[in-house]
Amino acid sequence: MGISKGDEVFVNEIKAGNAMAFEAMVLKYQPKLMSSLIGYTKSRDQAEEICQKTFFRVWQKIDSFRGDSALFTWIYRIGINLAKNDFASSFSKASKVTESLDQNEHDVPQYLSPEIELIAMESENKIMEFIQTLDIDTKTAFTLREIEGKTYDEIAQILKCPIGTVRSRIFRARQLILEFMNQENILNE
Amino acid sequence: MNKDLEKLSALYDGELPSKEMQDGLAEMHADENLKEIFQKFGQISELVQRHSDQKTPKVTLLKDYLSKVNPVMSNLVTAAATVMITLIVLYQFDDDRFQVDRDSSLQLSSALSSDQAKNQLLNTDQNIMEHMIHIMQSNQSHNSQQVSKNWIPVGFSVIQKTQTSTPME
Repeated sequence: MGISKGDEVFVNEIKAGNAMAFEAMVLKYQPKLMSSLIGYTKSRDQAEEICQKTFFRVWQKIDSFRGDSALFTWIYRIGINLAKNDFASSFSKASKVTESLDQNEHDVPQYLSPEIELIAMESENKIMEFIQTLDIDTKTAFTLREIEGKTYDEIAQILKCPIGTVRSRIFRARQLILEFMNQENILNE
Repeated sequence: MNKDLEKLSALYDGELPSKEMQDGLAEMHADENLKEIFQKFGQISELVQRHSDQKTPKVTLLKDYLSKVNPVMSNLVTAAATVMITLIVLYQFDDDRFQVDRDSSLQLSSALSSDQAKNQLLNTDQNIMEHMIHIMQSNQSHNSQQVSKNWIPVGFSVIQKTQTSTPME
């Protein structure tokens, strides 16, 4: 699967040196990348560090991105490679450490406890259940966009309605989900 | 305010025209609240896509969509599916298709579950021993037709025939 039309707009802007477009891309993909990296490293601190390095590398290498794959797939590959390198170097460091363990105390990664993971899973389930309660028009437009990756134009053709209506329905779904998240105090750090 | 957020949502999807996109990016850059909302859109996407990777209920979606767009069509699809499943079930369990004689099948089942069969099973060791002794003692030890009376086909009534001749003889 190649790059989506939505991401292509951002990538073209970033390639043209638009830092605000880059900022938007970071905000858009940071949660997804963090989730993958936490799964990989099992450490939020380590994941955050690698996440920052990844986006720095993305900014440097964006010109080499040809759009053969989805944008996130490309970002994800960079992130996972960095995580592997990080893991390899920390392993070699650890094997050399024979003294001054106290100095490294602040480096101890904050591992995610099973309780935290369980709470996260419960919150996710609540949101998914809430999405099921949305009215059919809103839910269909939102699902076609988020899961099927359809463009507004494609959704308009499928649902036989104007693009403006698709835009409103998708926004309405997001707005209702955000309200629900605030009400349930989900993801409010 | 809602119009601004709707624009932000469209910006998130990369669906704004070029000029509006530049304006939207500039507005977001200057407003921390908009940045936070934009990031939450990302969190929602991540969550929904992760769940959809685990399970994709496209049939549910189709069902919901059909029932909304055209309830008659939805009912027709349900009816057609029901008829098809019924036909499949009937075709699957049609014994005649396999040329199975139903009477023989019932007779065999009844034989296997009969008390006689159970007794035979329980007395297998004894029967084998009796049969071995019978063979050893018999002068016509190779005559396979003269078997112990316990070695009878189970579940069938034994017809006592005296002085019957077999084709082997």
